[in-house]
Amino acid sequence: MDVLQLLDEMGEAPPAHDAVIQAAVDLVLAASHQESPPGPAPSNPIVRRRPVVVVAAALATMAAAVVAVVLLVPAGGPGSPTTTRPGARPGGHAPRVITSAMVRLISLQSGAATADTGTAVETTTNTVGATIQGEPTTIDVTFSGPNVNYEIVGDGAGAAGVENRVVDGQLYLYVKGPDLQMHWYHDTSPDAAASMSFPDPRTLLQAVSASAGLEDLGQQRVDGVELTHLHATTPGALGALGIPDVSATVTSFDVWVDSADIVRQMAVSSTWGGSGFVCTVAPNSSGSSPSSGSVSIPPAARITTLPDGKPVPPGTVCGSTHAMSAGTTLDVRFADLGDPEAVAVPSGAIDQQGLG
Amino acid sequence: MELEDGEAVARSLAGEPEAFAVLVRRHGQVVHGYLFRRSDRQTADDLLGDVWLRAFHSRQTYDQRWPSARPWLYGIAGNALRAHWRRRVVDHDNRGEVGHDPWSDADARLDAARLWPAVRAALGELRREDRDVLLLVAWEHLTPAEAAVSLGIAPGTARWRLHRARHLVQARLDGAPVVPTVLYRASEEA
Repeated sequence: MDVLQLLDEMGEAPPAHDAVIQAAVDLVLAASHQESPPGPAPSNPIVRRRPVVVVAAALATMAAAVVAVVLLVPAGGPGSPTTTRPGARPGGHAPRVITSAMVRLISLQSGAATADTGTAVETTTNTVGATIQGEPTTIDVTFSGPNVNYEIVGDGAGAAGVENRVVDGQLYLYVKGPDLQMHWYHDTSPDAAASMSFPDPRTLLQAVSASAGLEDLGQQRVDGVELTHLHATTPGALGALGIPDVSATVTSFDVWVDSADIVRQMAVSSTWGGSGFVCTVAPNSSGSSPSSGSVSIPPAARITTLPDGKPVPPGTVCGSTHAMSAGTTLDVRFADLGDPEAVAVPSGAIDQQGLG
Repeated sequence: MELEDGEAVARSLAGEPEAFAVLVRRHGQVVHGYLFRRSDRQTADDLLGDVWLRAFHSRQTYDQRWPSARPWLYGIAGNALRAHWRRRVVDHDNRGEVGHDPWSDADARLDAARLWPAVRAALGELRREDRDVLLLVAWEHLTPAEAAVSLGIAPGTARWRLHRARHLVQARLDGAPVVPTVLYRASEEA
């Protein structure tokens, strides 16, 4: 028998599943849409009054109550990953690992959908050991291209109402001034916007990658919308995402995707361990240190965890180090994608250096 | 009437990028088959999207004079497959070996065929360049000229490599000795 004929008979391949071909079609269409010229800008963009913000603890005249802070210094690598699976698995649904092509499609579609305008709610919960520290911090985020507003709507530490706004690479803060009234300030420090301590929710989309080993846990109805729940089977492979609030090794990652393959909700947890020390901080308007250096571990409810690398507020006095572990869970929910939003320079912002 | 391959690519380059999806629907199965025959179903499923993204982003390299985009697509699929094997080597062995030939890893699925072990062994003895041409012709039903387009080589080179590969595999199956040195000596003369 001729070699070519022989090989031909041996080379039969079963057809690909329709879903695999369709995923490739969708992937190309998604890439096409990214390449297509952008549509016309909305003729009458709505400037949302929703505050966005940031915390300028040093400037804001917060109550002079003593706040306890735990500073963690990672030592010897991340703590043991805890692979607790959030959310209940729908009964009877066998998890299905999705292909890297599908993951890429979701990443592309979500990147395109969030590149322009939308809103998000970020909720951050901190733990030290197994104890949740204080109330979760909730931030309303509004984005329009690279411009982003952050408004703290609740954190249990008196920062509600504070806003951070980044417009054209410049940082604006809505905080209390020396007259105890809220004002917009423009931080004129070089690279002030880079010091922003809140994560742009869109940066978390980088975790939607093949290395996460995402599996499909089935459909879930969230806020009346049918979403597909994807769960990372290898979250540790994501490493440290390097974004604010998720600076340590990821220990769990869940994504909820809509029927257009766009991420609507994400939840990521990270933990880190090492030696830490408890500090007392007494912020006041002058930024001077408290007179007393006496330090003791306060009640858990009064401890706030700061990820490594965050600036230490003035007036910080720290005690001896001891081993500890801490964790952060960041929950992000997108909404209003594509709706007209504008994040503009606040009028009357006062130039000042070194706010952020 | 559906667009021809060349027309679809031309339109996709002229402000209608979504026209490229015509090619995916038309050739998606054969490209998947190409990947499957050289790896396994999971790898083929995983790589298919990557191949089409690569094709989309490099569509300006497609010579629209060719009536079918298949040879061009097989070339891209081959590159994606080789990149995949290289990554696998790096991931699993941390050796970073460039130019790793995946043949020895591939295709346990045809073991049931009586002749397959002998054919597989013979294919394994071929130089990768020769095997690429042989399998493009045998499995993907390309002409030698189309295989040349796929591999970015001259048609004469493709014909010579095909001849050489057929000769060596046939000789192996017939049990006849082969003299690789002689076979390979003229390889760059075509």
